[in-house]
Amino acid sequence: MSCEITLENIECSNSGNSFNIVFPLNKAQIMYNKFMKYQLNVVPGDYGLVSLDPECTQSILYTRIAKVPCDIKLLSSYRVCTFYSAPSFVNGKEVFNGYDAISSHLRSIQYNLDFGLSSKQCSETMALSSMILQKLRPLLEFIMWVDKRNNEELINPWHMKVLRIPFNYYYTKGKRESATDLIEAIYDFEDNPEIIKDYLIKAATDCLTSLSSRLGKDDYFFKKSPTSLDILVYGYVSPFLKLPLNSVDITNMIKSLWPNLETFVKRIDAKYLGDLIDNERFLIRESRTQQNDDEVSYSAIIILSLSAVSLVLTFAVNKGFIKL
Amino acid sequence: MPKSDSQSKPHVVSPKLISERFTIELGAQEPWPNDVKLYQPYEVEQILLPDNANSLAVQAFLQMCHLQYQVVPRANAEAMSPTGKVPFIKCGAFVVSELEGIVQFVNNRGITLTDKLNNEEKSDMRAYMCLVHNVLEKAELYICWMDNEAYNDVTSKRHGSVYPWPLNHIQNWTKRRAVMKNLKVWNWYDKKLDEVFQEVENACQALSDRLDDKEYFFGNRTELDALVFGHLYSLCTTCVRLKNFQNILKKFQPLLKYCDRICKLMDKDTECLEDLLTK
Repeated sequence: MSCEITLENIECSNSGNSFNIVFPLNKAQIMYNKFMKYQLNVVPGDYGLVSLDPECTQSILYTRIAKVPCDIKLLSSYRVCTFYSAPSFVNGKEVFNGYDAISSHLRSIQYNLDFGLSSKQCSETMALSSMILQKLRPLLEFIMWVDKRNNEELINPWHMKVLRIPFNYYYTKGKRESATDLIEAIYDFEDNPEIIKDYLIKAATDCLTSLSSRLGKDDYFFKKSPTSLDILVYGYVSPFLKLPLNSVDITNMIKSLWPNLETFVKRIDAKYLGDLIDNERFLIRESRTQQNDDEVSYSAIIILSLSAVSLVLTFAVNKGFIKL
Repeated sequence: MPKSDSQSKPHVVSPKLISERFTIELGAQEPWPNDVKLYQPYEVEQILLPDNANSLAVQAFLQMCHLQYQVVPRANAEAMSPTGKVPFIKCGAFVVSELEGIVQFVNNRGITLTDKLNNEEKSDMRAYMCLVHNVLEKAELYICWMDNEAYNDVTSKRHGSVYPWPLNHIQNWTKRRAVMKNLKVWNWYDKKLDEVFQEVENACQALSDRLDDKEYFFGNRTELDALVFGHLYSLCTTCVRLKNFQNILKKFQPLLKYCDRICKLMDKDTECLEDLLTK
């Protein structure tokens, strides 16, 4: 399908590390997209978060703000976790993995949240996004996956319970390894986790101070409506406010030092994610009961097959049909 | 007479350790000495694009603050640095590495370039410094270590030049693995070469939009100017993928003019910039 490309409809978009010129599609394509259903696969949420993975949270929020007609599927079912990773966005036969790929694909199919930003605002978005990824992301990864107490008492048991065997093992192992690699890449000269935590908290404090002063009393970073920067900030600030973290007191720090960031998170919760957060536990339960029959049958088939094979083998060995 | 502890053993101050106020305050009491040394790899034979950019940034910052220093090339500068990253300075009994750490160290001696900036501008400046580290520095690492052409023709030869055979190959292999791991955690490992150049162009566009038609990013010179200059000047004079970088930079004339201004301040060769500037 062809694109109408005129000087008027060239738009500037910017999210995270990417900064592209996007050509809006013509009316026929837009109509086609409206009726098309997409699928977004995410890690389930809890504790008032729509997902326990910040990239999944960002993907859900993007689709909500941009009003993308998509089904949200949870990684807590065998069918989803066998074929997809999280977050992943399915558009027909195309699958986009990771928030960066998802957001840039959504921008390319008309759902662009940064439309209307001036070049200076695009530049600022890029700089602040870099700061969040460099200073806030490492602390969240550390607290969730490297810090022993939080990981062993909260994050790991939760994932083991919610995700399916054996995917819960793969998922948690992968996340722990990538978080450890990230921390090692930044602080390869330091081994003491307590000292590393102090460095990370200091960097995050700088970042949160900057974000809070930039947001000021406005509703969103660029005043009128949320953009990709608001999504990134929400994705990395909301877990600190909502997760019942054990060993780090960053929740109270944010509430007392940067109350406008807490209000910002509550505002987005109420406006875009209210129904998902309220029904979040219900969503998990519903999705489990929906697939309960399939899951039982898969597990039952595997257990029965293994039992049958082992019985036959034991019988064969006992009777001397097979000599070991 | 036995030497005091501070005299016999240098205090190591990395950017991450900078929060240790006690150490910094110790350094703050002394005036800036005349024999400050800036350690970096050999410029002609050894130094690579990202290290050269960071070294230039630190030199530009020290010159902007009118602080004396002497560049000392060392083959094992990376191993001498407290954080494993170059450049680093030795100021009296203190060893401080990387631009952010050096800026904090200098600030604690009462010398600062950002005293006229309000809190919002300081936040803005920090964000743009993150942008340079996050995009330009990662792109430089990618080009040097992941692009096979650049790695075989330049990086492996220069990085291994100070080691005898077969240690040069072992050192190159070890360093390449470490850089790949670093790029993986920052989601740069799976990028294609074209995407990397696109990221550089986007970063230059963002910097150019922020600079606008001003002389410096925040009116007066700041550490951000030193950092941006270090990276852009290095990209203009690099021996890896020079044509690609030059083609990108040509599109941003205000940035080139800005580099030219700082070049003159530092008495650096401006020939490479003049070729790119449209008359």
